Amino acid sequence: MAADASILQMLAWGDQGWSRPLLFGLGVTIACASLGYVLGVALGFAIALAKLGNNRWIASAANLYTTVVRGVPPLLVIFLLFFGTNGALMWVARGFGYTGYIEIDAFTVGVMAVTLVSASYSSEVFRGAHGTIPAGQFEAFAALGLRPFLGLCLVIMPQMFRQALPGLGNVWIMAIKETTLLSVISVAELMRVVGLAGRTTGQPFVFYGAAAVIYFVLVAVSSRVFIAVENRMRWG
Amino acid sequence: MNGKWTERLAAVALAAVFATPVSAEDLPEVRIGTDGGYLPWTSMTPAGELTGFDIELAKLVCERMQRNCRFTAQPWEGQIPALEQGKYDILVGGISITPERQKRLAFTQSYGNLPINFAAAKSSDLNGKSSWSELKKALIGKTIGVQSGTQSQKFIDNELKGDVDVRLYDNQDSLNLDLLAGRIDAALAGRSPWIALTGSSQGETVEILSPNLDFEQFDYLGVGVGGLMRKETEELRKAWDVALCQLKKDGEVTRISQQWFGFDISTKADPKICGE
Amino acid sequence: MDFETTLHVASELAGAIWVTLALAAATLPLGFVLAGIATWARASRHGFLRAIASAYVLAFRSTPLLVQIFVLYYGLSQFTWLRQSPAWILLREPFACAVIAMSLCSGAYTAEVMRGGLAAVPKGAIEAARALGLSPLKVFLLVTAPIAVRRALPAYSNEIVVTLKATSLASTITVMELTGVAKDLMSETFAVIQVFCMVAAIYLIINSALIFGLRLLEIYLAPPHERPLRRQRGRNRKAEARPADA
Repeated sequence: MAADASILQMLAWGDQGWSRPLLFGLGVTIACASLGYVLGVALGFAIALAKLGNNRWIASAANLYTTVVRGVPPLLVIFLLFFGTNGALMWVARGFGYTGYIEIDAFTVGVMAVTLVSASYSSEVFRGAHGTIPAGQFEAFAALGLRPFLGLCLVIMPQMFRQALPGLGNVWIMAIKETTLLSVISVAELMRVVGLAGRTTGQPFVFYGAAAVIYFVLVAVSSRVFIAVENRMRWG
Repeated sequence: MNGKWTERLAAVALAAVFATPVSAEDLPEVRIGTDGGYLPWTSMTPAGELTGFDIELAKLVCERMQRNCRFTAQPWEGQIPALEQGKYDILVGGISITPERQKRLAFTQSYGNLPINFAAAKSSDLNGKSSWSELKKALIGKTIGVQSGTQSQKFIDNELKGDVDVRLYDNQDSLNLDLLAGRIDAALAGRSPWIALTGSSQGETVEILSPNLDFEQFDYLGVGVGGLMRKETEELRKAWDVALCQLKKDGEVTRISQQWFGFDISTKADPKICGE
Repeated sequence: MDFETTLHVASELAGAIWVTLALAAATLPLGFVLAGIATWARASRHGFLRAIASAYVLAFRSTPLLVQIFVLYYGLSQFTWLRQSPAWILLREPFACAVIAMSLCSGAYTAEVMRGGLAAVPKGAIEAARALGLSPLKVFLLVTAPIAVRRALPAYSNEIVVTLKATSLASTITVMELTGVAKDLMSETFAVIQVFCMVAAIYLIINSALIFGLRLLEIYLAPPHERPLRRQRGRNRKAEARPADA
């Protein structure tokens, strides 16, 4: 019974409890995942266009990008960015004649990591969605006299997004899960807070268990939202 | 009590005498980088303020140098590049003076030295060895945990590579957890985290193993800890060293050491730098 | 990076390849067995079994693998009674913990792959087999399983690649596999790009070899009239693919 009471105390709100740090960590997790996701989907769309475009070199560069990022563990991508970005950025800056110190903080590195990985997966989602649009649609807007760009924007893209929605939902869930890896580079997201709490209180099971529940709820709510949006787009 | 009181008075008097508005305003502030997560050298209060042995000492040095100082917390892994690239002027926080680091960078004189120690469960057969050779024999075939990138890891590489199963940890806390759980037979780290662990209620089953391992026996362990700087900031290094000489002579280093470690870790003033 | 460093990095990485492969090789069969049990239980007549299996699949698919690994490794080790039980023989080893956690996770995803494969078996084929008087076991072994395996293989290849990548998380609990060694080398040599390129190349080579082998297997398993129709595979792959390993 004593143990139960102390667990309640540990998870309580206030100076002694860990609720506030946990909530803060959850905030960082959501911020990191959503920033990385939005940027990643935008980048992924550009990459998908590059793959579908007429320029063979750009297309193969885009394919190489997705092959590499999908082929190596996300953790390795995180380490690359963590140990590599500062040096790379300073090197570029030197080229422009700037010699001061530039630093990228761990949160930015985290957002970049989520962006790179979600971009590669969402580009495949978009390409797949593009593939499902019947060739007749392209012919139809050409027959209507729409220019290719306008046709793409008015006819193809709305359908593409509807087709891509389930896939994009998966990418979002993946982004949430990927943020847990950022704890290894000291981003103060949920997993990091939970680890810290577990180690200092000597109750890692309680805190990692709490983390499991929180992520479960986050994923469950996310899937519900995506399904709701899908349904709305289908009938709307 | 009396001694402390006079010390404080002397410090106040000194500060009053030297606090002419000229120097502190003219020189740029000293940018100090520190880890903030390595008790008792450098740590962070829940309110987000830096504190610890090295922080207190650096503050006194700044006072003596008549310079404004700004502390920034950054994890140790990125600190050396940041120093080299000019983000900081000096790094403090239990940084060991080693020959490799001295090749590329400069150190202030050493101001403290702590041995590294193995720790193991009280019930372990590793206890009660009087010399390193005895302990080494007992360690063969065991599983040993160590934090990566530390002097302790280097010690294992040099003395025990191939004879023991080494596990690398990202931080001391995880190392403690696995030592308490019994996943590793022994762990090697600086003496200070072991004092903290064995003093806590969780760590009462753990014991610090003798002997102490230090630079007298293993010269690559370094002559203690110092402030780490770029080679070209020679003037700041000299000023820092002079201030350290004064603080050592005044017994300030010993006093802070007592406060943070419970015993004296200070090293003697370097006669080459401080004179007699 | 000079020659000596390159050699040092290469030799360290070469040693770690086996750890990565061993993790994947231990995880996949265990995950497959777990998935088999879960699939069987989900089709069971007992509501209780169905509920447990569904809860298992849902729980492990909805939480990050890193959380699962940490609960198992650091979480369980806090209990003294567990440390005194026979289970501790396994749980005290980081390698075993990594394999158990990854198998549980892979099992949940593989169960979904299996369900997709089974759903793709035409009802008519099973009915035809029953009409021929085959026993339920024979119907499963001779008709259902071969069709389901063929249908599920593309998604399962994807699962294999994901598992191989997921082995990198073992480095967070002191198992020194490829990614863990790479991290150490990056912070030690600061030759970040070079180390990354070498490790990425190793992962890509292993992945490509696996994918190539599995493609051959797919073609081998496909009935002759289906062999040229490669496009169908793509559709199936997307349906049950596990989006990522994180």
